[in-house]
Amino acid sequence: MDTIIKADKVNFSYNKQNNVLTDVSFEIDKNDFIGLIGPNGGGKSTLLKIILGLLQQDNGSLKVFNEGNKEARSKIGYVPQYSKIDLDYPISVWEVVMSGFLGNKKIGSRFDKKEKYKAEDVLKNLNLFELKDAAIGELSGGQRQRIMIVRALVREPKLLLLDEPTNNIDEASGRDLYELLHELNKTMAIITVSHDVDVISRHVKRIFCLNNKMACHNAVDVTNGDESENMKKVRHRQECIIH
Amino acid sequence: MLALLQYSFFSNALLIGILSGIACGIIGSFIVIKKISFISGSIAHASFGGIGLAYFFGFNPVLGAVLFSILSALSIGFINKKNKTQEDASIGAIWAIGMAVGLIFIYFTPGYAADLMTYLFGNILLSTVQDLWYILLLDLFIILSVVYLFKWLVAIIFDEEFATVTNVPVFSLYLFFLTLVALSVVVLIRTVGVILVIALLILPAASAQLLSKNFKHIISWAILLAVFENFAGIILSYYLNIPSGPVIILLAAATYLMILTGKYFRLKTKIYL
Repeated sequence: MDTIIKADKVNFSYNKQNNVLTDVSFEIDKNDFIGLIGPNGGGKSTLLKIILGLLQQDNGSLKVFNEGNKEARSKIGYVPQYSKIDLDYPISVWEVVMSGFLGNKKIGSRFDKKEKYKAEDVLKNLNLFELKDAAIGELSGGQRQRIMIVRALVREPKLLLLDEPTNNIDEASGRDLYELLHELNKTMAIITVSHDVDVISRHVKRIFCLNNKMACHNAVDVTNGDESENMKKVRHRQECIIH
Repeated sequence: MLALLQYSFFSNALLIGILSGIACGIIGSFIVIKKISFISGSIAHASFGGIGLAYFFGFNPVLGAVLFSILSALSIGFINKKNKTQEDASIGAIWAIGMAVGLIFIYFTPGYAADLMTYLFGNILLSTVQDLWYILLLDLFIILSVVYLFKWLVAIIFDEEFATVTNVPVFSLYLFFLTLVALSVVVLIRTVGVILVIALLILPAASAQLLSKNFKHIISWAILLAVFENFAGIILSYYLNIPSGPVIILLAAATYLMILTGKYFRLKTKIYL
């Protein structure tokens, strides 16, 4: 197994009094598909920010790709929460997607052909190419979320991080989104944050329950409409709450 | 009307009207879209400290204004980064501190500060050829910087967090952007004065934002509107013999209201452009 993230007894607090993360340890390998769940305030976003290098843990170690912050970031694709996007912002789908390249470029330089082909390619693969001139505010919730994924994918990440990707989109689009993630999982590790155990347990390989402390589970294999499976899920959810 | 152009003060004024319209169209669009009009107001008022300083030591007030506006812009940028909870209070404080410093320097300057009022409220008809050169230089710097950095600025304003985690130097870019705001404030002081700058930065761009959903089109509309409002304001203020600053601002406000109402009624009658 190639480990890409190794966390060992990570602790974090915002005010030195209440720990948000206590002795969080886990490993993620290159083919993993993790559902990170837990109550609000349980530390999901905090953990995501530490992985992204936006926050620094108080103690313990967290290695991402066993590299420094800058190099690790260049291998991570990040899809932020829906609420962080300003729908009135005057930007086209194409501009959003191309902005995925900016961090690797010299400031002031132009986009080259390779980058344009790459963006076209990813958009076409996801059947979104005809939307490229639309303003970001004109898209449906599901389409917008996919564009945010495209922006992350053009960077050819080895790890995709998604923060509540199915918030604010309808159920069918949510299912499509997880199918897409399932497909992407063939070539990269995925961590997706969610507060909905039912939806997530059907799609991911492992579930991390985070409520200040972390517990890891293998996701149950769900066959559609099986009642006993539903029972399992309910039990599973109870388990998570106990942690 | 044509005869008026033979007066150098009048053609100077029109040229400055164009140049300041360009600066405020470009930078104003970014300010309105990033929603930092309060920050821009603070930078503008703080620049008055530099004007007072220049009076006291006898150098060109434009240089004093550049110094103070950039200093206040960078301070706001650093406070935003280091201590977010203090940002709002510090913006307000910097706003007033700059004004206070300016007033004290002017109080200690011997003699009567004759055109102090023009720095506070602007009078484009009093601008000199030297002003014109300063403003031309500042304008060129603003235009070149924005052309060069356009994609980066658009991206960090759209999604700062994503830009950060993809290794875009967000903080340096933001500080540089605030410096551009500071410089455009200086450009506009001649036209509308320290106190009214904020309105000319915001109104044409806010009107433009109602007309388009494309960043570059918004900038073009904002430039067009600002130049038009400057021109109309200069001519009106000449004939009515009142200061140009307030006239330009009221024209800009009227334009904004007209576009806003027009848009409202078009939405009501379901006729889309």
